[in-house]
Amino acid sequence: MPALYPFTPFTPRMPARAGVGFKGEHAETVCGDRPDVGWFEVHAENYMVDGGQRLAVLEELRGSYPLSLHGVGLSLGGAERLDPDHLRAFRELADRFDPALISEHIAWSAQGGVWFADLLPPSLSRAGLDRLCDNIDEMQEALGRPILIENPANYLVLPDSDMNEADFIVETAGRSGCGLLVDVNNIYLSAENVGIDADAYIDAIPAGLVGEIHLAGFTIDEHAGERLLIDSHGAAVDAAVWRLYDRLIARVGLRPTLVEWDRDIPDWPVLYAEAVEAESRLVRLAEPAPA
Amino acid sequence: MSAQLAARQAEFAEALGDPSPDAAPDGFSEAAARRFRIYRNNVRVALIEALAAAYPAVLRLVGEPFFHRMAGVYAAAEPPRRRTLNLYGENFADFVAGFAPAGGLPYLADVARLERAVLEARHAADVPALDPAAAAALGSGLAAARLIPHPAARLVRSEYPIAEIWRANTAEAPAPDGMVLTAGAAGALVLRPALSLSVEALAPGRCAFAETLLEGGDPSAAHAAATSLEEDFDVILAFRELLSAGAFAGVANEPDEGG
Repeated sequence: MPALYPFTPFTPRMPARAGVGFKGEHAETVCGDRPDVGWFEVHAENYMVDGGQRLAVLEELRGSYPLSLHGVGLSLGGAERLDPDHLRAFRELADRFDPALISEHIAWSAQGGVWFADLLPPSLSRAGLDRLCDNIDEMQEALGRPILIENPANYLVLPDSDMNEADFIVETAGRSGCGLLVDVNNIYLSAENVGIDADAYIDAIPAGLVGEIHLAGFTIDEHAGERLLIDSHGAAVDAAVWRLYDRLIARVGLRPTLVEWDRDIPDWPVLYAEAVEAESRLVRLAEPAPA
Repeated sequence: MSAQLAARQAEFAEALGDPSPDAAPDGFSEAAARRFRIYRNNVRVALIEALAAAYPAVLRLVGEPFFHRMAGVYAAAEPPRRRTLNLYGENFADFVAGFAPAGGLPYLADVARLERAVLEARHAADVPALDPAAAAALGSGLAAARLIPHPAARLVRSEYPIAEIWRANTAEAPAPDGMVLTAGAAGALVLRPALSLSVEALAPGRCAFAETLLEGGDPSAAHAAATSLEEDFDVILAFRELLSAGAFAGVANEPDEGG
């Protein structure tokens, strides 16, 4: 059965440039100075309020830049069906702010009426894939457009996970018609934490499915003699992650690339410099998009 | 199959809420169980940080280590039921009131109530405030009119000077040189008619007046409530100030409706 909302990697409304994860701390600088940034991304859940400053700032931002609306709360990888209230709130935001891209995680985050405010590991299994595809279908039908799904940062392998993650997300995209948001930092973390092959993961992603790329910094957690990389979004992008990024864009070409920094948020120039770095690599390494 | 997937996630969720530090879902290897603590910690920290952002004055009053302990106990008992943390912590003030280790700060729960009111006001619907001229146009009918509270308007009663405590412990306003406490304050009024927030300390007469109006009483009832506390209460001034500060969104009914 053909997908209802087939994804194509190029949308004229979203430039294949570097974008920045928008933080309220930078609102004055960004809205006042209008820096040369391709686009901004916001977490949908932060804007699910009735009114006030936050929505007013987003209106202003949207007036000057293309927007990517990124969800963290739909729990697409959850065994339960989507929360209808949350889906409605998501659609209202999408209708109001008309984002060029919409994305969510393959993780799950809710169970039995409780939301965990964290991205919990999805089951990389046939049952997990079927459930994920059903949830993506429901989200895409509610929004009337294809979404992008993001790969998680892994700290462990679930006992019932028996599929390779790259195969899992590629098959999910093929079945549901969604695109991929490739988080290169998460691939690196997963490689270091659970021993997958990061290069092989990057190479297994078909160019035609990649709609967006995420870059972020991690922190190192040493506990009881064990070294883990934590997806903290609280540091500059690591050299090893830049290397994987180069490998990805050299093959798939120019793609909207987000630089995220969500804790210990630096002054705007530091974050802007990361976006400039991403963009210079895009220009240098990526083939231009087909006309 | 899907029932098994649901069971596995339910076990994972249950282990997240288990107070034992070694808790892990069934069937996890020793290595996976060790790493499970990352998720437990993330969940706990996310909720504590949301509360810290929403209750900055409470945090400053008790200090970070105490606040984190207190917020951690709350978060374990009251996990979020909605998929956003924007308004998480609805009953945190009640929890603070009953949190025995905080018993030495009797005003703490009221400061938390004020911070909750501020949070709700910040995210309330954007509705234009009632134009004072429109209220004045009601003329003598005004005394029996019912005013619709502005969606951001909140009144917090307290026998402590919570507005001053809040101001001195947040970055919302520079801390005053030595705290000026309003004598006999009865509460604080939070308003946000456009985008800028105001927090005003209320003396007893003004507090009773505003409270009566915000709860749907008419201006004559509000006047009576205020003068019972302050004989020489200036009702005209108080009413004009509430109107121009943006406490109301409209008039519910014409005074001649339904008698």
